[in-house]
Amino acid sequence: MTTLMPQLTSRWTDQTNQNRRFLAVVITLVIVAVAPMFLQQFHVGLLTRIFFMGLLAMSLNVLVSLTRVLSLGHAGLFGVAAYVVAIGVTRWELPFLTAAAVALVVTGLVSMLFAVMIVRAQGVTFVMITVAQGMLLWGAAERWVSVTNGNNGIRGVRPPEFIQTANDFYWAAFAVVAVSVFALWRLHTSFLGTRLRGTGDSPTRMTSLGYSNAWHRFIAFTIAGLFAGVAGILYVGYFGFVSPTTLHVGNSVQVALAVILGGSALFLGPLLGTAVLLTARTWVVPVTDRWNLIVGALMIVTVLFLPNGLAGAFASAWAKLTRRIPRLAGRRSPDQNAPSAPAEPPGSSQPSGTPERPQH
Amino acid sequence: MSILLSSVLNGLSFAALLFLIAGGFTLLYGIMRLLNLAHGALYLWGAYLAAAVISGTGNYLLAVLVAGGVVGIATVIGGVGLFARVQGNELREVLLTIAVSLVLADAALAVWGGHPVGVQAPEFLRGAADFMPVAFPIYRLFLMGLALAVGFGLWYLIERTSVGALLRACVDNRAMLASLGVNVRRLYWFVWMAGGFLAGVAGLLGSIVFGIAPGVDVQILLLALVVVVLGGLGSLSGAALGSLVVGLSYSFATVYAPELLYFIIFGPMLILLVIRPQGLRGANA
Repeated sequence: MTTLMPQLTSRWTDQTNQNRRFLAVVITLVIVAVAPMFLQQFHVGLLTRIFFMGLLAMSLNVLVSLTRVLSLGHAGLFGVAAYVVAIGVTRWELPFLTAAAVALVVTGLVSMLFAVMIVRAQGVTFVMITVAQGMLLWGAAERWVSVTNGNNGIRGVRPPEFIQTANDFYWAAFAVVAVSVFALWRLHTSFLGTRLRGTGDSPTRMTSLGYSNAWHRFIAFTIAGLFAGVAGILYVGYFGFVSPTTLHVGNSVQVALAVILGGSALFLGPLLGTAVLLTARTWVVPVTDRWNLIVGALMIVTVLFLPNGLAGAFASAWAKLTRRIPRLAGRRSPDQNAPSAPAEPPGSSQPSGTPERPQH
Repeated sequence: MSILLSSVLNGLSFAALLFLIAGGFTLLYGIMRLLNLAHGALYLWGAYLAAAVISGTGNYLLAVLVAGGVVGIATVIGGVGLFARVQGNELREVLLTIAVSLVLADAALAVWGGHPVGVQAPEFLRGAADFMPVAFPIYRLFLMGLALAVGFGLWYLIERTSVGALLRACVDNRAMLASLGVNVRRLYWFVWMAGGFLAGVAGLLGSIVFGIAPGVDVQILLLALVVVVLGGLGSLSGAALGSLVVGLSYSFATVYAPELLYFIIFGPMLILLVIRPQGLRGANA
């Protein structure tokens, strides 16, 4: 019942609230769009990486926040797209955009194939199978030397002609990611999104309502894979290089960390998590080699103490603050206790990003 | 003919090693319902510790005790300290094991460095036995025998002893067992210890074949995963069956189709999962 409430209220609240939200989105978009004119090259690059890695994390969040399963092979699908573009551009000498289209088709097909394998799995089994799928792709990239060039990877992938400078790439990536994020937002708020959420939250009820859980899991996995593919295309365009490390399970783990660190319950949480991780990485890597140790420690802290991620922590801190100082909350009634930043999708106010397992 | 025979022998010995590696992993899942993705990292630490003891003292028994004991105790501490806090939430448990494995693997890299380390088999297991067309390392024969012994030992422990009865009861109904006055927590400590011990010793056994290097942890974890997924999570006989399938297909694939190695290992598993998600020997969930 509680999950229904925000949906109802969001329809019923006054129009001004929605107008304000729209204005906030537009202003943010404009600021991000003009940002590279005022930033150094290094920061433009960092932001570009945050865009496409953030999109990857958000695509994973389709699985985590809607169907409530965790994939640890997600970087594999991301890597498939990157590899297909790389092979298409360097070996078949296709134009970048054509190769990108081919890559999307291939990634979609691979996602569907993988989805067929996992629609019946849940929880831990799901995690295990996705690990194996990811490693299968990694193994292919590493071993199938005649196609993938093995551990040397493929370099020399040029982005399309009209992208000349780092700023151009920034804008292209920004446009692609913004459209993708909007599409994901539509998915989260659509009826399909609600059904996917139903599959995650209460599969038995979905069955009794006449919906196929397997079919919805299949759809969710395919959509997640496709957006991971979009991110992978941007990745290879940005770096011009792809190697088996791109698909490695370690990479999938970092994506999962970005999701839970940011907070899977919040629509933009994974993007926030990615931004924090990548920024932290630029500080840490020059100082020490122990980045993985830090990632692991961060993950332990997140799992133990921040079950709703940074976004959840901010939200509850904000809620506490507004309860204490009602004026800060503006027109919001204090008892509404709404922790939501503007972008929270309706119905995602469930506190935990992961389903509780029944005790046995 | 000799290639075929040596492939079969290699496959069987590899299967034995896989079973020894997967033992601790399947034990923790079978009894604690914990998917321990840190298994590879525990193996790695066991391997490095054993290698250090062997290069220091040359005593293999001591190496087994140190590798198994230290890793086992670390597993108990980790299990009680970290996992008690998230018990009951599968996904958070899994994330926690991944986090621990990242920390352990990176710590191993910091402590032991990135150079590959080789470990020799003990004196009496070196050399080769002569089967008519092929010669076969004695150590690998030893692995087969050991896998049989460990498999039988675990089966006996779980199915035929009173501790085993408690363990099986714990899987079925933990709360009921606790209400009957059994100290479930101590039972858990025992399982953590056993799982860690097996992982650590597997590190020693495996490093004699594979050597030790950074990244081995992921490969080992992967092999253990495939074996137990194929066989059925938490099932001992399933792990044995899974090891045989993976061991033999691995050995034939390395000879006949090295480029497709990973497809040949994972292909059957993925197909099986579509038809029979619970694995070959898994119970119907």
